[in-house]
Formats: sequence, C-alpha cells, structure tokens
Amino acid sequence: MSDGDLRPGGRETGSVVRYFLAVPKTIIASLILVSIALNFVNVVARYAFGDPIAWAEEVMIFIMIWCVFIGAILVSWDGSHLKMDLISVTLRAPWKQVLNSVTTAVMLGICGFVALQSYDASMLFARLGQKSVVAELPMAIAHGAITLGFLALTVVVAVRFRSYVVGSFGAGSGISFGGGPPAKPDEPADTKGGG
Amino acid sequence: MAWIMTVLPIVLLLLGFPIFIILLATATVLLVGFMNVPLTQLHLVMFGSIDKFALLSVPFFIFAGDLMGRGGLSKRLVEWVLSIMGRTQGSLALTAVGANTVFGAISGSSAAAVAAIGQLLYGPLREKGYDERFTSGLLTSSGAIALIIPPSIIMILYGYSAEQSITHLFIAGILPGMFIALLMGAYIYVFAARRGIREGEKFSWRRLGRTTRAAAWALGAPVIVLGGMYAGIVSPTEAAGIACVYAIVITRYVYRDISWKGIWDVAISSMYLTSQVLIIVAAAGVFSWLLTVSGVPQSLVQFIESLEVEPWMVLVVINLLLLAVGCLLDPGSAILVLTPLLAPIAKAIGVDLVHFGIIMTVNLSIGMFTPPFGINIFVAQAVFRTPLSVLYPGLAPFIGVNILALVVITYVPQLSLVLTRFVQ
Repeated sequence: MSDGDLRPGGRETGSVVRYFLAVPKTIIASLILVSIALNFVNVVARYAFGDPIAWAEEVMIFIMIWCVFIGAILVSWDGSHLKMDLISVTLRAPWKQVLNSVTTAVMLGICGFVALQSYDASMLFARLGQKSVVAELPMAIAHGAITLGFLALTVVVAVRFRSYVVGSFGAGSGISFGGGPPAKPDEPADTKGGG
Repeated sequence: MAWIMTVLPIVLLLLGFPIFIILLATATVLLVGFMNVPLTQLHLVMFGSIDKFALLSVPFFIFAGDLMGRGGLSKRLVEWVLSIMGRTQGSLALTAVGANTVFGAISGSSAAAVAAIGQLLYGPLREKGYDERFTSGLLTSSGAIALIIPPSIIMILYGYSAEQSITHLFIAGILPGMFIALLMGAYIYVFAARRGIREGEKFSWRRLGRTTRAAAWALGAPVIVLGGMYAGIVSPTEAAGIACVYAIVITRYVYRDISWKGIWDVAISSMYLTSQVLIIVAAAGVFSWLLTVSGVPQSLVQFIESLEVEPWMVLVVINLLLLAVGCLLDPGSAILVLTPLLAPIAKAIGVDLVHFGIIMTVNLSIGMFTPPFGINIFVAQAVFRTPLSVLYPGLAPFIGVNILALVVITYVPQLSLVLTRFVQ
C-alpha cells in the first residue's frame, strides 16, 4: 500500500495529493455556503412573505449528510477522528505499531463492511425508485452519501495505512482552525462538539 | 449480549480506536453474531440518525462561531468588559471570566475562547502581578463557560439524543453559566484582595460608551439570533443559519476583519469539525438503537430502582462518572454515548431531562480543563507555553470552584429551569 504523505522528496506525490484533497474541500465549502444561503432565503420567504420554500429543509438535510461523509474523507486523511488515546500514547515501539496496525485493520474491515451493507440498502432505494416527500429527490442519492462515504474512508485508510501504523500524518490536509492554535497534524483537531 | 455492549466498547476505547469505529464495531458484532435482523439495518439506522433538521444547527453554529472568533471580535469584547470592570479588585482577571462568558454567547467554542481571550490577556495579567500558575489556570478554566452559555453544540447533541427541546436547553444554560462565572469571580476577587492586586483604569461612562460602540455589532449577535429563538419566532436551526449570515456581514463588511478567502477557509474547517462530530452521531444512532432493542436502559433503571437508594445518591454517582469520563473523552462523544444510558435513569428518579442536560454539560465542561486529557489544557499549553507542572496546580482551585457550582446546579433545579417557563 502506498502512502500519500507530503514528505520531503515527494513533491510530485505531494502536488497530486493537494489536488486530490482540494476536491472534497471545495465540495464541502460550496455546499455549506449554499445551505446557509438557502436557510436565510427560506427564513426571509417565510417571515417576510409568508411563503416558505417547501423543499428547502429536505435539500439542506441532504446537503449536510453529503458534507459529513465527504468531510470524513479529509478527517480520515489526517487521522483526526475523535478518540481517546490514553494507552496508545504511552506505548513504545514496537508495541505502539502493533496496536496501531490492529486498530487500522479493524477500521478498514468495519468501514468496508458498512460500505457493503450500505451499498445494498442504497441499491434497494434505487430499485424502488423512492423519492423524498417534498423535494422529490431520489432517496438513493441521499442514502448514497453513506455508501460512497464509507467506501472512500476504506480507500483513504488503505492508502494511508502506513501513516496510521506509524502514527504520523505529515502535513495532512492543511486545514487551519481559527480561534485556536494551529492544529498539529498528528493530533486530533479540537471540536466544538468536542468543546 | 449486554456484556458485549458494555465490555467491547470500553476495551476498544482504551485501546485508542476512533469513537465511531468503536460504536460501529460493537454494532457489527451484535448484528452478525447475536441478532436476526437484516444487516442493511446498520445503514438504515445510521441514515435515520443524521436525517434530522435539528442537526443542521451544528455546522451552522460552528461556522458562525469560528468566523466571529477569527476576526478582531475577542479584542473588542475584552476592551468592553474591561471598561465595565474599572478599578475593581482583580479587574483584569475578572475580565477574563467576563469576556469568556460573552465570547461563549457568540462563538460557543471553549477551546477557541481559551486561545482567543487567553492570547490577549495572558501577557497583561502577568505584568500586573498575577503569577504564572494562577494566570494559566484562570485562562484555561474560564474558557469552559462557553460550553454552558448558549449556543452550545453539546446541548444540541444532548437535545437530539434525549429528545429534548434545544431552545429550552439553551435557555436553561444561561443562569448556570452565569452562576459559574459569578463563583469564579468571587474566588478571583478574594485572590486579588489577599495579594493586594488592584489594576485597571477608573470607571468612566465615556470609555464604556466608546467600547460599547466598538463591540455593539458583536454583542448584537446573541441578542438578534438567540432572541428570535427564545421568542419562538425561529427554530434553533434557522437561528443558527441567521447567525452565519450575521457573522459574514459583520466580519466582512462592518469590522472588515476577514476576506472572502478567509470565509471560504472557515467553511472548510467548520465542515471538517462537523464531520468529526456527526459521523459519531450516525454511529451512536446504531448503538443507541441496539441498546433500546436489547433493553439495556430499562434493565439499568430496574437495577437502580431495586437498590432503593435516594435520588440524590444516584446523582452523586452519575456526577462522579461524568467527571471521570469528561477527563478522558471529548464532551460530544461522551454525550452521544452516555445519554441513551443515563437519561432513562435520570427520568426514573424524577430529574427533569432539560435539567439533566445542564448537569451533563457542566460535568463535561469541567472535564475540558481537568487533567490529564482536557482539551483546553493542550490549547493552553500551546498558546501560553506553560509547563504542565505549573498548569496542573494552577487549575486545582478552579476545578474546586466549578465542582462547587456543579453541586448547586445539580441539587437546585430551579437555577436551570426557572427561565424555561418564559420561553414559548
């Protein structure tokens, strides 16, 4: 399995990775800004004109679901999923690598398994041709976010297998966090959800 | 089956597995090995867990808070609070608590509050004679108030998990948050008085007017956004969306603190943080569903009832558990994993679930600055460069003050619930 770290000496790989990471970044930023605009227009339409956009809530929910799973690709790339590394940080080589290998293998297995089950469910919605109640969007598209999300997580974890085992993620996705100190690539980023 | 649901997550948690993988791995083991249901249920329950309009307020509030936090808003807030304090004993340290409380009402981010307010006040506090231990302890702990003062992502997650009104939870957090600030203020006042520290400029209405004008747009955010919600005009999600537009307008066009590129970066980082949290929401939905169908919460309630202990004793145990969990786990994950187990117990012993949400939030906010793994400690370490050997003892009195506040908040439900009566 190859590793996509932005290591010194790996400039070509690095630029390819940057282009690859720009895609999910662009999608999530665009979608959340569209969602904010849609919410605002809906509020104005409802309270100023008494005529809300009926499909707005459904569309915003589907946007959020897609954003969550596309964003999870970046989180997985950085190895920044929330966890409690009480024991793993105290371990030394080679036990740390052994534990990280097991963790990563389980992560690969679970993400792959969920992707498979999710594929079956999404295909079922596609076959039934079920649509959302108000916006009449195909439900397979909404459910497909989980399928593609977990498939992408499986691929990303496989590509970054070595980083997960070593416990070092290089420059990561390069996302900066405001208000707080610069996020260290090898540490989980802070969340408001996490506080 | 029940032991798998208990032991497996704990083992995987201790081994450092990502939280969402722990929840999904446990669910997979149970579905494959012990239950006779279609495996596609895993997907369906996950989808159903995040297919909720209320959850949309999470990315919106994160975006608005992050955007406000990046500009020069914190500086304006600090100057505003400082102008109110005048030459009160310990005014600069009191400003830290006051600014964090107001910052929490605008950004809602605890770690961001520590970084933003801490960066501004650490140097001046040290210059005025506060020692490193007290200064770092104060700035690290006072940021946690932001979790309790609305808007609070933790409360949104609790409201979602326990099926409680987010508006009620938000308004229930106001007095407890202010109470904690008041207790911390009292401790600071005594500390400064004993050491004879008196700093700051004499109070002047002119100065207050000037700083209020400078901070007015920032101070207007909670009034406009949360006011509409409390008045029952808009839903929490709509209020969060309005907060985003308000934040864009004031940071980009009024204060001119941030470029469109900056707003774009905030959009990326806020969705990144949202993904970290909501993927756990999706996985926790499956775990919660399995808990319900296997009757674990009901068994726990029956067990507690069979012990015939007083409700206050149960609350002591729950508080101790939450304080311990808060030291190790981030508040969002803790809320999502523990609420399905603890809320039925709280309900069974007669605790209002809105009040219980505040108890959980306060407990977990204390965990934010409690060694060894409080997130604010790491932020403070990075921002102030204070060694842990100095920071840990500096935190001790503030942990004590917050635990005292927790006791009052736990056993005086009116403190949390009184304002909820006025909400539509």
